[in-house]
Amino acid sequence: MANELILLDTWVSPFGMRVRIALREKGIKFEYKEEDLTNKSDLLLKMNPIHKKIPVLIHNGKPVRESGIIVQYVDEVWHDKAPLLPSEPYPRAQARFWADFVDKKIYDTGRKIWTTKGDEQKSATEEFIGYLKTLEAELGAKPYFGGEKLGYVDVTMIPFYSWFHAYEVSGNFSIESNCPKLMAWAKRCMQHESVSKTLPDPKKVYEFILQLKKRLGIE
Amino acid sequence: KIWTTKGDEQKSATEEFIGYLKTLEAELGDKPYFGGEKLGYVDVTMIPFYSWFHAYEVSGNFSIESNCPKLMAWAKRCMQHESVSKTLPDPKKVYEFILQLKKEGAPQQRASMAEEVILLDSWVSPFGMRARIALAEKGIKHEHREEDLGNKSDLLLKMNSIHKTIPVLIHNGKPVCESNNIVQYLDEVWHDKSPLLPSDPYLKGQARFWADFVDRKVFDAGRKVWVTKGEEQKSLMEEFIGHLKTLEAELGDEPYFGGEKMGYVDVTMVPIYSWFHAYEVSGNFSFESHCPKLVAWAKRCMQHDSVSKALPDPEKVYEYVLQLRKRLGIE
Repeated sequence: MANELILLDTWVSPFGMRVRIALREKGIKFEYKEEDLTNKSDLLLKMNPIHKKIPVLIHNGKPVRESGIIVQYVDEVWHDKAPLLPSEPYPRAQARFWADFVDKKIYDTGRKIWTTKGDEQKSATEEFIGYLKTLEAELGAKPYFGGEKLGYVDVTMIPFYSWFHAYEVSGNFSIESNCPKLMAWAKRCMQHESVSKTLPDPKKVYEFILQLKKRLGIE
Repeated sequence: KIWTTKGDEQKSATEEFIGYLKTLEAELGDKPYFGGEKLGYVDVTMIPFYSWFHAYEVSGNFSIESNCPKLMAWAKRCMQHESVSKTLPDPKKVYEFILQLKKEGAPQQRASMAEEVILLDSWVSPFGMRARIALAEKGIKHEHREEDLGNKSDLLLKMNSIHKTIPVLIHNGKPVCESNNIVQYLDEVWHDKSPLLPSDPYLKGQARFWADFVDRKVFDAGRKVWVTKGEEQKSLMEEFIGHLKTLEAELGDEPYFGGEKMGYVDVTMVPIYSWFHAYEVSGNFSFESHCPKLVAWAKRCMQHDSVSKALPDPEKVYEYVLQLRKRLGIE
């Protein structure tokens, strides 16, 4: 039976990027469908009626939802190609813990940086850098969070690298000077085609944010 | 004595041990090393015990760092020497070794356990209850330690330094944090006893999706109800009930979310049932009239020992909520 894979996604979503990187790392062919989030397709509303969000991976007609869950699913079905999660239970639990940390802290705090001003923005920026430093400490001397190779936590976090420029300009700070090790890690990840083909041009992400702010009536 | 005894004997050994470390701290004074400016005979004699500190701390439930910070600073200074860092083993491996030794050791040492499992928890936490249920379902022997969240133990702060929250599962000295992560971990390690997640990747993905829904929608709305009042609270309760109805639809005609048997989603969701009484009294309504199927499901789960023993008395939960709202200054 042919494996039919359709990914409902948007080019700028860090959550969608995770899935694209995982699929590309494993050399899995898929059909990409760009969603207009201001005018969601019937397919998206049918495949994810609960949250109505992307990404949604449709595998032989059956939907898998939530980026972390999709990446784990892809890793389990195509487990012999470029495994992302460790095989041992304890390191797997550690990987899930850190992916959960990225989920809970990075996106929301990052969002505050470009949606607020003044003291609130300053405080969001400091909080954001704090979380990046926590990640740096966890990375330690390893080339990747996954050890010698890209792993689940790397795939979960690296999409935000395409948003760094937008955060930096909005918040008027430099991630490189605060977290040089993390930047080195990000550049190392970008040498993988699965990552460089997936992440959009940071300048385009920044333009997107400016337009989104206008639409949301911020500033 | 710290890792071979329990109770008062262990407590007294721990105090004696800290006393000796403090004596050494006083002797060290302001010198970087016992040997003065460089590593000396006494440094070489003492530093190996640094690799055993973690094992002592977990066994005795205390923190050497908070009692003897200067000695810890000295130890880290010594570890910068390759002669030391190349020699000392991974403290976690030392702890596992001790556990093995206890198993094979003399009869007066405590009853052997192949695995040492400790759960740091709080009786009223629905997140903690998930871990308790999973442990009971799988018949895993473990030590349950009740945390006072107003005065967190050194062990908790060390084992979950990022979030400082319970539950934390400590398996052979290694921490696993976040309730859903703990349940998945237990399911993977003790995979042959009462499996909670399906083996099929698609069904597993579905179970994870619904557990995530329980976390992000149900528990989140449920929690916010307690810190609001008036119209805001009323609207959150409606949202909460809406999510429960979504779950009812997902359950359909199956006895459990896991199908014929309790599964991952059942374990994730059922703890909130112990809070239903509190919601009903506060909001002056009945869940039974809004979501009868879900209430029936919860009662079905409560027939399992693993669930009925893990969930606290709903009256006690209600008292807890009243005190919480008083403390937060709400009504």
